[in-house]
Formats: sequence, structure tokens, C-alpha cells
Amino acid sequence: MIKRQYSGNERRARNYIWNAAGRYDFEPSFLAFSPDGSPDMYYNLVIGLAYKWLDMEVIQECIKGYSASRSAEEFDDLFWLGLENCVYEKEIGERPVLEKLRREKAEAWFKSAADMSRQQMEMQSMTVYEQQMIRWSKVLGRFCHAGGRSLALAGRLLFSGSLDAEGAVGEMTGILLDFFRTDISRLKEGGERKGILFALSLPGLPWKAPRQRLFLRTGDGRGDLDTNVRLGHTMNRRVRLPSGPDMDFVRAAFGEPSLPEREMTALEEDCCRDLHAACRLHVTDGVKKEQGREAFGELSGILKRAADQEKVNRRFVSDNALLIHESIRELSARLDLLFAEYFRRMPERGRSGSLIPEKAYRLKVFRDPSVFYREGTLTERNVEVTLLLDASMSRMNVQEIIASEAYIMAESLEKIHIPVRVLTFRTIRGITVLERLRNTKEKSSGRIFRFFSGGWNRDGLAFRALGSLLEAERGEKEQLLIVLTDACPNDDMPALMDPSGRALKEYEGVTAVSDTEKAVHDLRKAGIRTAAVFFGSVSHLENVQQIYGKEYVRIRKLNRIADAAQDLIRMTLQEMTLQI
Amino acid sequence: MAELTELLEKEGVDKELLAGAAEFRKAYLADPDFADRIPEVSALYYGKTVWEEAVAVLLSGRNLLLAGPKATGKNLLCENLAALFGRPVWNVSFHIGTDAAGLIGTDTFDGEKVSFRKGPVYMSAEKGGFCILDEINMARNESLAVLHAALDHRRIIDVPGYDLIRVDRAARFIATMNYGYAGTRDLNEALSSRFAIITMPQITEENMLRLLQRNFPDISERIAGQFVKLFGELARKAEKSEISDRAVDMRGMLDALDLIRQGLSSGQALELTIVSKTFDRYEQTLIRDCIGSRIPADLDRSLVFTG
Repeated sequence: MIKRQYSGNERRARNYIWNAAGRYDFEPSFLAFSPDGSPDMYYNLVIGLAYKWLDMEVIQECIKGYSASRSAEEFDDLFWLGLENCVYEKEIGERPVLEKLRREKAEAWFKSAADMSRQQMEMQSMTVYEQQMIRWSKVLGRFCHAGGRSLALAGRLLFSGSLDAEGAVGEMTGILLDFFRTDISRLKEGGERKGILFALSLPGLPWKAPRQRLFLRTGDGRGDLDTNVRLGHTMNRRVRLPSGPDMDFVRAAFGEPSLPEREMTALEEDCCRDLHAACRLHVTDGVKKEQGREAFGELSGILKRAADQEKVNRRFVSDNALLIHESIRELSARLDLLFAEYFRRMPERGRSGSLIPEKAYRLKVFRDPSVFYREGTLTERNVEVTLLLDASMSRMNVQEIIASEAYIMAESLEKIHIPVRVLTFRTIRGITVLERLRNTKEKSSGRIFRFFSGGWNRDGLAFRALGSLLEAERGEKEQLLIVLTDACPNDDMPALMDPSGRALKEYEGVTAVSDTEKAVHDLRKAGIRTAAVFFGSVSHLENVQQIYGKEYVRIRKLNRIADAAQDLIRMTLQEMTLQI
Repeated sequence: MAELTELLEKEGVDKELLAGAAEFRKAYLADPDFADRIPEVSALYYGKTVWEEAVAVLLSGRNLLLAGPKATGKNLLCENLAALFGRPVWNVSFHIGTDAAGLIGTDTFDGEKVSFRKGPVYMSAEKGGFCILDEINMARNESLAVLHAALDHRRIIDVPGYDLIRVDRAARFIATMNYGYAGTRDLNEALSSRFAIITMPQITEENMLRLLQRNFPDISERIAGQFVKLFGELARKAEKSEISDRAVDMRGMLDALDLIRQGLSSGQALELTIVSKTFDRYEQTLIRDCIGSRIPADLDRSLVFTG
């Protein structure tokens, strides 16, 4: 639901550009920011206008052409200075405000230049600095002292408004040749900058400063961030039952069990059989603060990773606070409408509406006019949602996104008074851990930020355990379970194919998928409507169909989880209404 | 009325259709008790084709569904049509809780006996009015089933326990439907098939310019042009879901110009009438950015109104 995976400032910059270009069907290759990180209004407009008036493919081809040069960044800045004049002249008639914005830009440049430290000055490209000074002086009508060569270059950089992209590229090529002895046609294309997009060198920012502050990649150019991590099995092992120390380890890493020992034992007896006979279960509400103890080795590593990831999750949410807030507002409105659509309003008595025959006597006898049923304001929403998140290592690269999406879901449902619980599952040292990050009675969803990934995923066992837990807690409400999954169950504890434990199979592939399919079937039989949000490799698409049937939604970007969940809720509600 | 007909003639609306509407007015005189329900023309909907289509549909005895995004003039056209045909108007704003009782009527106790209180659909059917079903897609489809018989060839409303009423020959139902933002839904086929549907186009730049000039005859043409462009840019931004459609507000644009005339700067005026339409701070920033790239914040009335 976070509409796009970039920060508020980036989205603002893009909006300036799209707005000026008059179209929204492209990802801008350039974004401009001021040194304080806020979008630079004027330059973003210039970029947008370049998209409006010029063929950007031609421009980008030229930029690619000199990208192998050591002065490529300097050339970028000069090229944009040229383009600025060109698109300004083209647009000014249609957008008179540009004149004012250009002057403001010029004033801001001088102010910024005056504040520049000596160190910053030293890092600045003097050619670019001088050319900017000449340009902005001209805009403000000020006199600017500069050498003859610089003035000549400045003159050449005043690209005319009558140029098209080819014309602008021709000018730039000429400038590079005449002033920098650089012949684009002889330069080898620089591969290392491919896919990385450039913003502009702005006043006050050291020219050679780390480009992360200036350079941005496209919304899609996040490399392999969304790629799943796959764990490999070690071969030729024998089954090793989880020991006491293993359980101690899991307790220390994930928290004490939240069920009394007797119930835990019953749960294990109920679920840890057949393929899972060698496994154990652990249900927890997470590590309590006071539980902190000295940790060494692997345990200390896990605790540190969990703590670090919690910080990352929280930072991610605070960096995107406005977007997340907006997403919650939007999703809760949509869900509210959805539930209102499928659940009847409860009738209440009033002075008008449809007459209740058996109460009609009250009119005559008591002069009580409240003998009508009218549609009330309260809607009966007899449903509970459980969100189950796969917390295995495969989710390593997308932890903060999963956490924030789960948070959006939980908060949106809470807002419209639908009880929601959030759990994660993973398997570590043969013990499948179900961690409850939010209970239905909790008002805050803050614990969701404790989400971190690590371990394997033994989906079949986790689902069985969850089924038993929900069965015990459910009460009268309809249960809706949404699983975020990559449909690739995978555990290093083998599957026991016979009770003796001699016949073993790896818990992966067909074995694991069939087991999970059966677990989902059992959940549904117990009245828990189970649906999946599938985020994973296309090679597992068959798995998801086998396990969940039609009740799944495939997403290609993780920031679509909440949207997908909404679709699933709609699907399930439709089905429920048909059955009523 | 003569004034409206004249204006439409100037707009180039087909004269025969306008003559048809005039005949309709003569043939079906409105009940004088409800004369105050016939709307006045406060503003004119611009768009020759839409006018012609709508008038033709209503003259043929059919009901009309105006579908389109916000600020395409749906409600304005409804009012204008009622004025042209000289019909009293009953307006129903639909929401998710709208039920049959809210449309047709409810039982109530008047101190003496249980009686039936007529709803807006009943009233317009009985009195030959235009019933405007505003944002009809906001209601649950099943609660609209009661309208089916009134909207199709049967033209009847059966009120259980009371009468079977026939829809007056002059009565028409004009529904509006917004789409494209969170919280809107499709209309089911049973209902949509009972309307002739006009997809309302976004107002053209030319028509919006004329609208501004009609409301503010002394506005500088250059500035008016920038307001028109700004409106288009906001509409495009909403269409691409970068902002909600709250800021795409024609009334807000006119109000902003009015406030500038009163003495506010352009920045202040647009802040009050456009930016503040949304309560989301981030969205406000995007709207402000959009305005800033078109209209300087310090325009005052001497610059905007030159007449």
C-alpha cells in the first residue's frame, strides 16, 4: 500500500516532473534535490519540461556517450544548464510563473554560494560554479566578472528555445569538443553508470560529495532487493531430535512460551506427528524486555539481529510516516466499505421504519411510538482476521517492508473494529516457533516492528499448530486467515516417512507441498477460511495453486500486500455471504 | 427559462431539441405547490454534445445516468436539466446505508395513527418531478432493487401494505455516479441497464475559460488561462492517484478567484479553497507544489482583475 517505494521527498520531486511534463507514464531518469534533501522545485520543473519538449532518449544517449569520461559529472551539470535555457524559452509563453521561479532559483543560488565553506569550494568544479554564476547573474541582471573563455562558454550554453533534442545534443557535442577536447564519438561507453540516474549538482553541495545524496535510482532499480533468499540443505544427515539446550536456545532467542506447559504438551502431541514426529513447537509472545540476559555466540547474534532489525523497521516507518498514515486511512476506508457492504446493519427500534407487529400494542397502551425497526448505525461484523507471516530466512531482504505492510493491515482493521492478530512462523533447530506479534485484544500494533527473518519454514506444522490455537480462541466469530507466503516450504529437519524414523525425506519439494496442502485443507475443514498472498518465484506458482487452490492473490511487489489482502477479504466475504 | 434556452442556443445546442423541451414544459405544468423546488440557473453547464444527448434521452421518456469523475459538472447538469424542463427536484444522496425506506417512505406514528411518510422517490413519481439519485453507486445494490420497477417500462412503485403508484409521465430519474476513487463501486447490471448512460467528459480548457469569464467578466485572460491549466494539472494528478480528487474542485477555483477579489493574495485564496480541501498533510504539500508551479503566490486583485 505504500504507493511507491520511495520517500516523500522523492515522490514530491517526481510529481513536479510529471506535472511539468504533463504526463505520468514514465519514471524520470533525473531528480533534483536541494542540499537539505528537499526537492528543488525549479530544476525538477526543468527536468519535467525537458520530458515535455525534448526526446529524452536522444538526450540520454548523449549522456551515455560521455559517461566514461572522468569529467562526466561536470558535463552533466553543464548539459543541464544548457537544457535549462532551452526549455525555459520553450515554456515561458505557456507558463509565465517560470520567470519568477527562475529568479528565485538564481537568488537562492547566490545565497547558497555565499554560505559555502572553503572546503566545499575546493571540492566544487570551478567550471560549473563559474558557469552557474554567469547564468544566474544574467537572470538577475547583475554584472558578472569572468574571463573571455568562460563568457564564450556561457554564451554557447544558452541553448536556444528553437532547438529540438538532436539540436541540443549537437550543441553539447560541439561544446565538449571545443572547450574540453572531448570527442563523444571516440569515447567508450561507460558501463558502470548504466541504470543509475543523475540529479544535478546544486549550489552549496560539494561537487564531489558522495553521490547518494544527489543520485537516485529509479523506483524499480532497487537491484535484487526483492529477490528471495533460498537456503540449501546439507546432505547425508541423520535425523537429530531437538534437545533440551535447543529448546533453551529458542526460548532465549524468541521468548518464553505463552501457553502453560500442559497446553504446550497437548499442542505438540496434537500436531507433532506423522512427518513432524521429530519436531517440536514453541508458541511465544516474544522476548520480554526483563528477559534480557547475557548472551553469547549464535544467541547473541540472533538477539542483536532482532534488535537491529526492529530499529530498521521503526526507522522505515518513521521515514515513510506520512505515506503509511495515508495508506492506513485509505485501506481502512476501503475495508470499512467492504464490510458494510457484506454485513447488514443491525436494526434498531425507532419512531419510524417498518412496524413491528408484536410491539404495536404499545402505541395504544403506553403511547410508546418506538414500535418501528429502522436500520441502525452499528454493523455486525462477526469476523476475526489472522495475519500469518513467513519469517524464514527467505524474507531477509524485505523485512522492513513486510513489517510495515503488516502494520498497515493491522492498524486499518483495528480502526474499523475488526479484531486482528498477527503471527510469524519459522523453524529453527527443528523447533517451529509461532510468535504472536499482536493479539486480538491489543490496541497497539507496535510489536509488529519486532518482525525479523531467520530460520527455515515448516509450513505444514506451523499451520497445524495455528489451527489448534485458533480453534481454542475463536469463539463465535468467523475466522479469516491470510498467509504471506512464498509457497516454498523448506526445513532442514527431515520428514519422517515411517514411525521408526528410518525412512527419511527432505522436508522440501513435493513432500513439503503436499503436507502443507493437507494442513490448509484441515484448516478449512475446521471453518478457518484460509487464503494466501503469494510473493515468490514463478517456479513456485504451481505450489501455491496446489496448496491454496483458488484462494490466493499473487503480488509482484511487496508493497501490494495490503491491497492483496483487501482482495482476499472481499473474495472471502463474497463466499461467506453466498453461504448465509 | 427563456434566458436558459437562449444561452443554450448560443452554445449551439440543437434548436429542435430545445423546442422539444419547451413543448414538454407546456404539456406538463408543474404543481404550483412545488414551484420552489424548480431550480434556478446559478451557473451553466458547458458542453454542447452532452446537452444534446441528455435532452434527447429525457424527451424520449428514459432515465439518465451521468457517470464520470469529480468536477465534471454532473450535479450542475442535473439542476440545469430540471430548470430547462421546468420540473421540481427531489434530491437523494446515496450512501452505504441507503435503504428502500429512505427512498420510498417509512411508517411513522403521527400521534393518532400509524401512517406512511412519503420518501423522495415516491414524491417525484407522484408529482412528476425529477428525482436526482446522487452517487447512486454508493448504495448496496440490493437496497436499490425497489427502484427497478419504477425505472423500467413498468413505471410503477409498489409500496407494500399501501398503494401501487404509477410514475407520473413527466417524472424522470437522473442518477449520478462517481468513479475512480477509494470507496466507489460499480453499479450492477440490473440497474445500469435501466438508464441511458452519459460518460461525462472532463471540462475542456476552452469551456472552463468561458466559465471563469462568465463568472468574472473582468478577469485577466492570461491569469484565467493559468487557473484553467492548474485545474487540468490537478485533475490529471488525481486521475493518476497521486492525490485524491478532493482538490479537483471547480467550486473551489471559483471561490479562490472570489477571495482574491475580496483582497486575499492568490496564495492565501488557493490555500483556503483548494489545498485545505484535503486534510492529509502530505497530499497538501503535493497540491501546493502543483499550484506553485503555475500560479505565483503573491498575485493580488489588481493583477488578476484588470477590468
